[in-house]
Amino acid sequence: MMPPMFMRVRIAGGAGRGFGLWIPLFLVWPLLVLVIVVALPFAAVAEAILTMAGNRVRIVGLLLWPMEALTACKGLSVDVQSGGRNGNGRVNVEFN
Amino acid sequence: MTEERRRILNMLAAGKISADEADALLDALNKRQRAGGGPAESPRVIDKKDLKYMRVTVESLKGDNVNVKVPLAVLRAGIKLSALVPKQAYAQINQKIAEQGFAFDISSIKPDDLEQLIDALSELNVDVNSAQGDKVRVFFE
Repeated sequence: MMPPMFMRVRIAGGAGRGFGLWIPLFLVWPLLVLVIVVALPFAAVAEAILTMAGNRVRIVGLLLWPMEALTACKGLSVDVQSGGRNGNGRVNVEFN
Repeated sequence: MTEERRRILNMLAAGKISADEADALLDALNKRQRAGGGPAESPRVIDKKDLKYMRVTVESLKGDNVNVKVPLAVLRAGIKLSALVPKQAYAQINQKIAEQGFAFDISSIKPDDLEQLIDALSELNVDVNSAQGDKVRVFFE
């Protein structure tokens, strides 16, 4: 499953004011993967040490989980509108 | 007994839905029957494999509207996170939950339970209309 490539945030205020943010997540993923790849050996060693000490903590799983969670966000959409149907006070966040 | 009622009662008997969910479905069925004067339409039946999102929509007469679409994969990822929590932390987490007034054991959450829940929710359609004209809908698509 592909992670979301963009995150779009649109905030609309009264009288047509507002702004939008377009965040290219496809630039963030390679950096995130790089960080995970670098940290993975250390996490594996730490998990092995803790397991041998009798205190198992799934450090590797916790390190990989954010990537899975962010991948799952594809299609997530939150649209909140307040103050009437003329669009006053509207916040829209989408992961595409 | 209509076919729709029989299906809801069969799901309840099989444990696929809770009593509260069966009650909500039967209420929705009764309202449709009273409004239409006849047997209600079949509840939305979606192939479980096609379920991808949980939708929550709120429409109020004051113009405060909320529309949320949550991929089911996010729910699955949340369940997996609970499986990654160290067992040593379960007691503390359960205590914090109990302080909020909920008797819940986080160690009882298992990925299989989520799949069963999603299977049962494939036919759930919650429609709430308040006296003030506010509408709340929760459904899966």
